[in-house]
Amino acid sequence: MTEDRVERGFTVVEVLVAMVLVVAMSFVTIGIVHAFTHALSLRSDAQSGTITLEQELDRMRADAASAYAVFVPTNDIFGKPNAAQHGATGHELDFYTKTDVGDEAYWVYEWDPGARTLQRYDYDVSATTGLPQDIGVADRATGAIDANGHYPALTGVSSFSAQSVFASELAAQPNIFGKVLSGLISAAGVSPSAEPVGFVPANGIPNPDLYGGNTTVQAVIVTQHGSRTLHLTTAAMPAGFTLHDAPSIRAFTYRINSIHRSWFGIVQKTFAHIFNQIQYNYHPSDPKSPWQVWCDYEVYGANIKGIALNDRNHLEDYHPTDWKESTAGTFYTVTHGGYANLAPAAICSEQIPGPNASPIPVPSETSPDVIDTPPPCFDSANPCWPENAPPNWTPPSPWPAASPPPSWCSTHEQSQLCGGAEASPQLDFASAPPDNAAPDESELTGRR
Amino acid sequence: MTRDGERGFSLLEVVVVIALTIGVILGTAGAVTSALHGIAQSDLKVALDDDALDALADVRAVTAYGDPTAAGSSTNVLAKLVGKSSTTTVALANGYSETLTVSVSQLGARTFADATASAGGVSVSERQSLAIEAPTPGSIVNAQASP
Repeated sequence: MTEDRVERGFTVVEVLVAMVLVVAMSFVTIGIVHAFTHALSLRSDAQSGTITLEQELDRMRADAASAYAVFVPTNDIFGKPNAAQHGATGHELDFYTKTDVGDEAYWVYEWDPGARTLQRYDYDVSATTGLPQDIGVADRATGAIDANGHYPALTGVSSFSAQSVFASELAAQPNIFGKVLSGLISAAGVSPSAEPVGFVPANGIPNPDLYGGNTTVQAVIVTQHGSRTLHLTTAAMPAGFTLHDAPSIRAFTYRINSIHRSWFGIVQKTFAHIFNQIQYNYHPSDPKSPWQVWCDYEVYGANIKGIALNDRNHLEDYHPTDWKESTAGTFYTVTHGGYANLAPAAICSEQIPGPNASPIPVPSETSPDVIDTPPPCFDSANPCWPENAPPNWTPPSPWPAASPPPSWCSTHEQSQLCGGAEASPQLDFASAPPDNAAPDESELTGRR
Repeated sequence: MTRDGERGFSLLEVVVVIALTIGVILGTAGAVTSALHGIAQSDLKVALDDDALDALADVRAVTAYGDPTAAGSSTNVLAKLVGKSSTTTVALANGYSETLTVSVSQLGARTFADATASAGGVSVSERQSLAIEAPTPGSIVNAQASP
């Protein structure tokens, strides 16, 4: 009996209890593992979908970074209505760019609500109608469209919308971006302006949908794995115009004498008024573009008496050979701010009028008995033909003394008036003015 | 009664084994839960990063045009935004609240916009350099004062 008790097996009850416990623990374990596996599977799928969606978003950002314009067209590439007007939402988002050799490229992201896909297409536009044609995949080398080609589509897209938003409208958007931008520009007290710079395609057919500038396109993509909002702006912020000719500036000094008579005309006194006139021209090479007066002012103020030439006490007031009283000095004064006691910038305003502006010359105070408008060459000693002028220097028109002396031409044979080749005189006034008299005409090629 | 070496497990041994088993199971569950949480945080981080980038795109859009010579003018939005910041908070569908902060600062001669999006303990920041990229169409820029 003792041996039997020691070596006996489990009783039925023990076995049953053990089996129940094992089965129960197995179920619990399997359930936990299954739950974890299921959760991991769901998360894996979701993350895979998220990664795919993010890759698509990154691709669109990269597309925008190489585009001249991101726009939401009125009709999609298949001719169906897309966005009726600016601000309306569409199911298609278009991109436009030019290559470095001037070739144009168009591509779109088109949402198909039936297939729940977001599909990219490349396309050309017709040279005659301007409408999309040859839809497919563009050859990266030639740009030719392969109509049989297909990009992989983003699947599971339950909703997609694209909407153009002007920069002036961004702060009013009813989302987190509008709210945070609204707070920012309110703190600065500014109102951003919309600059929807448009493009005319190479076919010359205007496309009112094709504009970019600082316009933002807001795309909202909803998939089973989440929703994303995407704000796209182009890499290029074009100014909307190209100015080929820089404004040229020239200045010259002239004198107006006024004679004041007394003693029944027996006695007279001559006063000189010294004026500077500054002109500009945006297209000096175009004969149809005349020189415009930027400003015209009296150097020594608008004193009606001017400079009393006969008064020995005032003769020293006027030194036309001095730098600051020459037109070169005038030009330097205008372009470098106040010089000595002259401040023509206050008279001329700070800025050259624009190409389309109509400048109004500053009226000069003149005596009613003005009798002449003598040339800017005041006397034989005055540097009408300055020796230190550049060899190709040519005075502007109108220039009264159009015949330089032979001695001057001997050292300035390149000047047009001495038979030299045509060339625009270029003087550099970026450095300090010279000690001696300087040329009476200056020209600046600026840039805008 | 019994021979040495052939007795069953004692109660203490059984308890220890059960405790170890439960510990392993709980550890595994914790690891899996942590992994799931990490994945969720990763997704949230990516979404927040998208929002930060979108906010920077908006700031760039409103500052890209202007007159670089008119620092105090309304035509130079960029200059006026320097030193300004804005924060807003919205409720998300997943129960989180997202906070988005945008600020514009200047370091030396360069201007930057910073956007920080945060939600559920996750925070993502992005920075973008800002500049007036082109004169406002139709504007006249003083050539003498151009930088």
